[in-house]
Amino acid sequence: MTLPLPALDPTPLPAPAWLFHLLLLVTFLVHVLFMNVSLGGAVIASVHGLLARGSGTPGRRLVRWMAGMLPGSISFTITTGVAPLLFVQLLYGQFFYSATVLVGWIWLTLLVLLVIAYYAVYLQQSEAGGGTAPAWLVVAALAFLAVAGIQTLVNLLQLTPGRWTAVATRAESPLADPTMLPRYLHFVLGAFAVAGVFLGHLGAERAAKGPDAFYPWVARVGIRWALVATALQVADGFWLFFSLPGPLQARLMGGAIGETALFVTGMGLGLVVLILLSRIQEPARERGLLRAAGGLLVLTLVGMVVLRDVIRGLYLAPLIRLRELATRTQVDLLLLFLALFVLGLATVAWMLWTVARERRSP
Amino acid sequence: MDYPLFLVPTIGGSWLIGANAILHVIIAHVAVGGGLLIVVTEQIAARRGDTLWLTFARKQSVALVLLSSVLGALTGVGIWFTIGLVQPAATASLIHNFVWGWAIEWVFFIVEMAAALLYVATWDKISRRTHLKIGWIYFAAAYLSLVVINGIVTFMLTPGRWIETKAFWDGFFNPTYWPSLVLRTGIALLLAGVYGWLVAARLPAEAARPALIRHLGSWSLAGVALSIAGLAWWLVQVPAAARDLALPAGSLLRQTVGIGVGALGSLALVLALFGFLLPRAVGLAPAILALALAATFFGSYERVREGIRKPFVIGQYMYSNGIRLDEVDRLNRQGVLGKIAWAGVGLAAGPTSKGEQIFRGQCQMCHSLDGYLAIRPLVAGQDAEGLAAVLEALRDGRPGMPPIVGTEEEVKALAAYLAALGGTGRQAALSPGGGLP
Repeated sequence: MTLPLPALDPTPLPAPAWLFHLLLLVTFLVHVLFMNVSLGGAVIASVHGLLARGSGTPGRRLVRWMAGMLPGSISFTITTGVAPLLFVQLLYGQFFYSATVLVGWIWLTLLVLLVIAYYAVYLQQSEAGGGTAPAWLVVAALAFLAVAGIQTLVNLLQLTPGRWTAVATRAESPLADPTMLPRYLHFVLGAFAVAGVFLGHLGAERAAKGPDAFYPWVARVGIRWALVATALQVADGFWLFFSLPGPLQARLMGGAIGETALFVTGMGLGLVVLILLSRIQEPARERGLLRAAGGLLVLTLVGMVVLRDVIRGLYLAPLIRLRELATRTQVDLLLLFLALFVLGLATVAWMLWTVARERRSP
Repeated sequence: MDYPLFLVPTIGGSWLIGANAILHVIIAHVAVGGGLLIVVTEQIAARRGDTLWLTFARKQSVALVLLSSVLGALTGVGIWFTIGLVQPAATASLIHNFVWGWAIEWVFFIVEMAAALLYVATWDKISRRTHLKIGWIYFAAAYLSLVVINGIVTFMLTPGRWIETKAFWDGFFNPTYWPSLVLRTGIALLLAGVYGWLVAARLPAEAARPALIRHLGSWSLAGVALSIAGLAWWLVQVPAAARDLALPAGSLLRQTVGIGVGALGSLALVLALFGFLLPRAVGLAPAILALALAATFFGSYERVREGIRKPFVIGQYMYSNGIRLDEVDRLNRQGVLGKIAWAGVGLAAGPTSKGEQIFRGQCQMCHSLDGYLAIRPLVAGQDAEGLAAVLEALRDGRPGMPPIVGTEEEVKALAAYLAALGGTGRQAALSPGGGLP
């Protein structure tokens, strides 16, 4: 038995749907970049912290370094996550609310996990001296991995209204969808790759400033993580593709030109990134190659965000068409938002620039 | 309600929202008032070269950012999570009307967080001038967030001309917008001062400390005065029907009002006594007492504001069970079961299951079975026929309660379920044709 989809709210959208759709994708992309650094960074540093023996080892130093960076990146993961949360409710509220209600307590657990992770990072930071174990960072990393699982679960449930009744009556586990695991791995491996390249860049940049052996090590570690994660991603990508519903596979494999082109481009970009990463031996000395790999990785991420959205559209196609949603544009508010958005970004840029300048020449 | 239901046992969904939201608003108002307090204190301290005041401003800023960037931000997201679960229809409606308001508030949120993290990280590392500028940006962004959200929160109680025009600005600058802004500004100041006491109580007891305690106490007292003015103005602007739920003796929220007023009065006394007569005695205990009183007053106000909005979740537009006013006639004619189809999921088929579905879809948003606003004691010992008559009379609603909606047969099914729930009605409900459609 499939129950009716909740009715659409009768109030028209206050701007064309494409604009909110664009804002959803752009803000989601920024959110994912910060999220990848937080999740991937916490996991990478935890693993090397656990492998390290003794306080003076680079692994333990990586833990301290990462614990110093994480509060900022977590904070911006959350801040930038609020906007896509707002726009997804606006455009896909019928699906979003239903999915979250069906796994309501699990959904709320996400917040508890984030509070734990956040304060765990601060606790790791406050561990004085060099001999400390990465225990708190491990707590944070595990919490982030669980949060990723909850997000995957809720996002997938949104796309599959046909399963809702079965999930609501507990006839079926919310986890039962065949794409759940490959989808989860797709996100987590992506986070390792982005965080790895981020560490590669940061390590190489610091290495250029002085003879400290720690930074070239960080850069190598980062690139190695990115390489392995991207290689696994290729395998997982195939798994995810073949677990998608048949009609969706058909559209991505030649059934629809635009969607197929996007899919093939995304995969191609991923492969190029893989090849570039595999050629980096000493990242601190191969900055050009590193920059190319990083730039292409971000481009791949852009492609994947769009592809993810296209796949959402394919899942929901019979039920909602964004361009058919009623609209009554509030022009004054739209302009006010855009003006404040630019002004806000300019203010943040001014603060960062001024602080950087004054710190260089106190 | 159209959506799957998220029913919270015992405390009910509204208290799930409330518990998270009250924590959030306290932190958010501490952040707004604290932003101003820190930057003003830093400015005064820098001019006078007062190291104790500078130490205080620095410690207060770290405490504030730790609190607001983590727990404040996450309970803010928590508001989205909880209202989406408990009141999806109302949340969807608010977002459709105010998405630009929230988008603008989000811009301020980004600026606020960036400024807060930079302000804390750059003490003594950049010039005083730039540091103060970043502090002012932090405060301005935090206050502008309040300026925006205040419009949406007050709209829910007093939508004003929006009911006719459906225009954003009519809803935003509604009858309680300005009084509420004055009140919330006052609350932000009073919370910042008492939170400051908590931080100052842990500073070394130097000769300069009593002056700092007085400085913070006068912030809070100014906040108390502003709060009283805003509150009085707000009460004048609130519709009479809503006011009646809180003010006359015997009304639903009388106790909460009493607690809130008592807490505010006691806070003023504590502030005057310790701030001006015994500033040397301000240690951890008076600071915690003042903070507890401030939080009690603020929490009571929020509880009353939410409480007097009943029977609406959005004033004059949507009832607290998610049914819009413009739907009532149609649902009375065509039946409500279609709208609340999800409320029937998982119910075993039986003579009272339709009634139970209606109860879950229409009543359980506010009434738990045995906990908060428990229904069982209200229907105990009553038979289905008598209950059906009571429910029919409730089609006009009663103060604080939405009207019963549905066809005559649906109301009978609800009565049968309630009679079975109350115990003695079970026989009638289970007998053949026991009031079921």
